[in-house]
Amino acid sequence: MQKYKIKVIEKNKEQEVTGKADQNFLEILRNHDIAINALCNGQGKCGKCKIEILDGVQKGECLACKTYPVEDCRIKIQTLSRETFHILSTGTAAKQHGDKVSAGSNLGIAADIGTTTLVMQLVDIDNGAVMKTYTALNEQGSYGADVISRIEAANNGAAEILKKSISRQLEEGVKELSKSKKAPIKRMVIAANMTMVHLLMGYSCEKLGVYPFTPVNTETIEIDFAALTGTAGESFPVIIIPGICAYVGGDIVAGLVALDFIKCEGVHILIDLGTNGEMAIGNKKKILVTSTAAGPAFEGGNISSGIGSVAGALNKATLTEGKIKYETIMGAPLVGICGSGVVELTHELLKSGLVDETGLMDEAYFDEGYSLDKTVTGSMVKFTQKDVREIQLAKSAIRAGLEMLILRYGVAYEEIEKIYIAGGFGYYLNIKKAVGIGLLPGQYACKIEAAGNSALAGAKCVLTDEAALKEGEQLAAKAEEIQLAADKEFNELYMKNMYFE
Amino acid sequence: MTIIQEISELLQKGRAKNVKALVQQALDEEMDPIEVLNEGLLSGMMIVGEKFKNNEVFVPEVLVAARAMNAGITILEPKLVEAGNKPIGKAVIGTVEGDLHDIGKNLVIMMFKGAGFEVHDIGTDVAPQTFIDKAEEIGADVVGMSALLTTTMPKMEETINLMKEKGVRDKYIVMIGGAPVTEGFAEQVGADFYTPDAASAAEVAKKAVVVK
Ligand code: B12
Ligand code: FES
Repeated sequence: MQKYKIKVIEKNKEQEVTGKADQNFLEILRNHDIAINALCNGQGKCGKCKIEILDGVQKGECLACKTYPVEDCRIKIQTLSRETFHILSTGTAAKQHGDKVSAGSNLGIAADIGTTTLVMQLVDIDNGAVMKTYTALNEQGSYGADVISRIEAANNGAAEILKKSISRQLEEGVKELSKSKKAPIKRMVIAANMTMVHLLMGYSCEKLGVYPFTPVNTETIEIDFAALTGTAGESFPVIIIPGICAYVGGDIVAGLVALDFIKCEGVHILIDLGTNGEMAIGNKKKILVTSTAAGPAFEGGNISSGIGSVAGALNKATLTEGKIKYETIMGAPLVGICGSGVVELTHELLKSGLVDETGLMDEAYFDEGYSLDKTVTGSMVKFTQKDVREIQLAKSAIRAGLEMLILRYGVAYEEIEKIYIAGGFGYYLNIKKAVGIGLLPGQYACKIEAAGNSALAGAKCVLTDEAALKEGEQLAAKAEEIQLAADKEFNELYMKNMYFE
Repeated sequence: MTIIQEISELLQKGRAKNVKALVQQALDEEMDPIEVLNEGLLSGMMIVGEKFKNNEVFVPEVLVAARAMNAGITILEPKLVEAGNKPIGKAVIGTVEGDLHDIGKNLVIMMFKGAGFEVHDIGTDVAPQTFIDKAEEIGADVVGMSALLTTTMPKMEETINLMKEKGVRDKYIVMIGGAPVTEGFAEQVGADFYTPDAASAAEVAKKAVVVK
């Protein structure tokens, strides 16, 4: 097979790799541990894996997953890099230990392995003080943005690579966090969704991706760090927080721990507004959970000018008298629209009648979309009719799932004390506008609160308080899952909530 | 506006009750039931499908329109049988094994009905063998498979391979679809057609059965 030399140019880095003629550029980059965005895992549908070929017959922009090298060449890429990504490490509503001064002799690490991001904190076990935080993008991202894509990749032979990838990142995190530490790491606690746990543990994902979605193991895992990551790294015990079912994992259980569901008399709700839309309702007596598969729209996925929460992503917008005003993350030049921006734009267009209650866009924008502004490279950032349709699918999945959860729990509106929104998207979300587009119910508006990174907060609780793990185990055992897929009532609510009313 | 045009208009708005009443009125006036079906109900549904394809209307509107269509067809049914109306073909449509997503599949079924097919909905989580059994049983022209999970897409290939094994592959026009499915995938697994939306699926099927 013909081999080619490919010079890979990132921002300020250059390296040469070799690729075979029957490998597309995405495969070649992956083979060399170079992680680029590949939201749809190489199906050629998402358009996020764009690279630029700088010379030769293929010169120009192309999709890495659909393009094969035909000669030696130079390519320009954008790696998944954390410098520009906004990763949330605080848990606002969660129990806080306050910023105590650390004695620094009893140290541990709390970790939240998300599908998109990895956050690790060095914590003083004695008083809960956070001494240092490490964040990174989950490099498995080049195998697809959602868990199903990762499961699919694992089932097709990439399991080993995915395990190594996250192990390497955990190790790097540990190394980074313990650089200036005064004492050895005592233990580490990990909160992660079920798929992340399977990939990390090297469990078979065969049954995780198809109905009835059976995990290999949902229980608490205790394992040595060196054994877990399979390297000669440091040795200390690791605890992985138990999960509930295939799509409601230890990250949610950790959130329930952090928010003290085990002690609540009144009924509380926790929603993770991510791709899988995990949610839980309950109190110390009874807990119900579900997941609603909203898809990546609230992370900027499947949106024509969509982008993650990076610097320059539009995250606030107001439309008054036909004039649009917007803000971007860190005030950087506009590069695209992130999840919270998507919600704001939808809200503003609805409010000014440019999108009607069925989701139809005004004729003037129907064909070309609503143009916002040009990026520095001169391409127009737009919000299109198709984007509105994506939002309708996603927001209705969340809303209908939530309504079902409340319905099955059998609780009256007034009895619900609080709705916590977990995750980065929830943190930056304008609740009023989310209510305005029907993503969240209006009658609860004053009860809705952003919970920040509640998974990490829960991992920290377990790290610092032995009883918290028991609490997590009790919560997980208590929780019952409700399945939405075969439920007629869910489908009715799903249709009803697709409108903007 | 003629009564037939009115039926089509009301169907597009999803007014099941009015459609029902007007279809009854048309029958009372001794209009040709086949004309009421084709020019009123089905043509109305095709317009809705076309608008859906262009993003002008969305899933809920298609569903209420389909409900109106079904209401009209129920009234017409006995007269259609009397008049010897034949469907343009028979189709078996379902979601593949391991997958319970059915909204897209249901839209495809509605559009097939709107195109004049007799459709057998075999639901979700359908095993390869079940697709074949049903298709054999009713003498289907088209077998349609839907998958919304990348992890269940291989079931489409399995079903097609099983058809080959049993020597029945050539009897059927095999169509596949669902959000993660692509043209390339259809080619790779040996399906006859892929379409990205329900309206085109029905159009393609209609053309294909004529050739067949
Ligand atoms: C609604 C929904 C659900 C509902 C399903 C309700 C139901 N009864 O169908 C619920 C909440 C139950 C659900 C559950 C799950 N879901 Co879901 N779901 C969605 C969602 C939001 C919309 C799908 C939809 O209905 N679209 C609207 C219809 C009209 O479009 P469509 O199906 O594509 O159909 C059109 C075309 O594709 C075509 N077509 C369809 N079928 C066919 C067939 C033929 C022959 C042809 C020619 C054409 C054709 O025509 C249709 C109309 O034009 C998507 C995300 C998204 N925004 O798309 C996720 C999504 C499909 N789900 C996903 C997942 C992972 C799941 C779960 C596994 C996980 C979970 N968290 O619960 C479970 C599994 C359920 C199961 N057992 O199968 C993932 C799949 C990811 C992947 N890479 O494969 C998605 C993409 C979300 C995501 N990114 O995470 N889901
Ligand atoms: S288009 Fe290449 S990874 Fe999605």
